[in-house]
Amino acid sequence: MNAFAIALIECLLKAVQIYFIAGLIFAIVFSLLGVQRTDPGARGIAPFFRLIIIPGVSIFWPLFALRLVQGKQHPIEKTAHRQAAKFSR
Amino acid sequence: MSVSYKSIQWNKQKLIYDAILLATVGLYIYIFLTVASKTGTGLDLRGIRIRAYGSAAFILLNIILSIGPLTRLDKRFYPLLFNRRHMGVTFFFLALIHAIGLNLPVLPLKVDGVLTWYHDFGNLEPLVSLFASNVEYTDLIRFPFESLGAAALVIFFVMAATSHDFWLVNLTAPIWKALHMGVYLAYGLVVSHVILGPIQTNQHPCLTIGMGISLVWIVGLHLFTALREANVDSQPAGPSDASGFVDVGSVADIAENRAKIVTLAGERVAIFKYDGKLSAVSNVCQHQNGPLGEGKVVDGCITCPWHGYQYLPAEGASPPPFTEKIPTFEVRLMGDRIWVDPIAKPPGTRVAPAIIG
Ligand code: HEM
Ligand code: FES
Repeated sequence: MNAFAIALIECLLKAVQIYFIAGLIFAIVFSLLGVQRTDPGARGIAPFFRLIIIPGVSIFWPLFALRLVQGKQHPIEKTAHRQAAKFSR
Repeated sequence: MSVSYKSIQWNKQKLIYDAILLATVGLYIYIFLTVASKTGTGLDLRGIRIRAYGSAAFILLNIILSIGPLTRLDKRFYPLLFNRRHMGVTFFFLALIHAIGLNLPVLPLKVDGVLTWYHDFGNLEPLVSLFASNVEYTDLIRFPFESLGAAALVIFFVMAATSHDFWLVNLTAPIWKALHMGVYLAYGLVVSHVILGPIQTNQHPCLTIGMGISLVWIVGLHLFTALREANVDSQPAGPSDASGFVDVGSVADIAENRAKIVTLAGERVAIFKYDGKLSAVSNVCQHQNGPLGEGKVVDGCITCPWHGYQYLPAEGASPPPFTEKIPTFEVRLMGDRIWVDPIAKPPGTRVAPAIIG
């Protein structure tokens, strides 16, 4: 086996691992304490809901960290009709 | 509908679908293992298991990819659509078992996957060994097809992890949709995974024939449906009058509690006929952009055919306490012709219905 390839692959896998584990730690704290601040739809105890968002938050955690820091909530989506309606009056 | 998130919405019907789904998958794996070990392919049981789970995952993926276009062609496929998310998650776990095996501490069930079988010896971590043992990316015959499977699995993981409605809201529908369109990229990766790997080493005719059928079916079905949809959108709406209203057809075209869909200003508008009245709203459901105009008016509410979100036709809004809103359009009736203003009103604007009669 090729020593360079092994070193490169080990390095890349390590980077992915660190990103994901950092995300996992963030996600656990976020699902308990942060999610109701960035999304008003998250209410009550809802333990299963909080559990089920953890894998995804571990992937997209920088997005939620940014929203927490900026004190923002999720954006409202736009479609052609919604855009047109906004400009029509 | 969203007042607050629910974990997973199970009802009796969905439980029945899930039970049928799991039983079918279990039966397939059982039959595959029995037949393959009886016919003696020279593979040991672990190799057979990898193939059983890989092929089960692939078949389920084909079914999942067919459901969308099939519901565009025939409404009777809708019940499958309601259950597609659970199919997706089941598919993901089959593919995961194929790749990394299953070794749960609580269950006596233990299955070897590719990682624990081919790569769990020597002094390298299995995952490093998987990617490092073959780096001949320039050789089509010896191509490390495992990497293609791994790339597909990563896409499927992101999709499974973002399947809850929370993600639709938090990533916004366009991004969520784009992300989940990644399933086609992943399908391409899986097909390449099988063509560059098992079809060359295993050379079982069933595998080659199955892959051919899958490609023709998936590509053909999607092309056929896309052409039909494009045809619907390109049909010109009728003439417009001095105030800009467009003639969209006659009252008799629309069945009671149903809608007619026309394309105005680039997006589809649904004109509903109910209780002797006509109301026009955007055809796009706020939930996952489902086609509202293919739904029915139930209990005075437009009901989305995809997941049942409801809207009051004249208000363009869900009945309280729900908060969804869709754009509305002004409607006029002249004789039996329906005229619609192509300029959308902001979501949730009340528009007086046109009275028939
Ligand atoms: C890390 C990810 C993956 C790895 C390492 C991997 C590896 C393998 C290996 C070693 C084989 C056996 C080749 C042979 O028998 O000669 C195989 C076959 C196969 N894989 Fe994967 N795979 C992965 C992901 C996937 C995914 C996501 C799918 C999606 C459906 C998939 C579908 C298949 C199929 C259909 C076969 C052929 C089964 C048969 O021979 O009946 N694989 N894969
Ligand atoms: S798209 Fe889900 S209910 Fe309309």
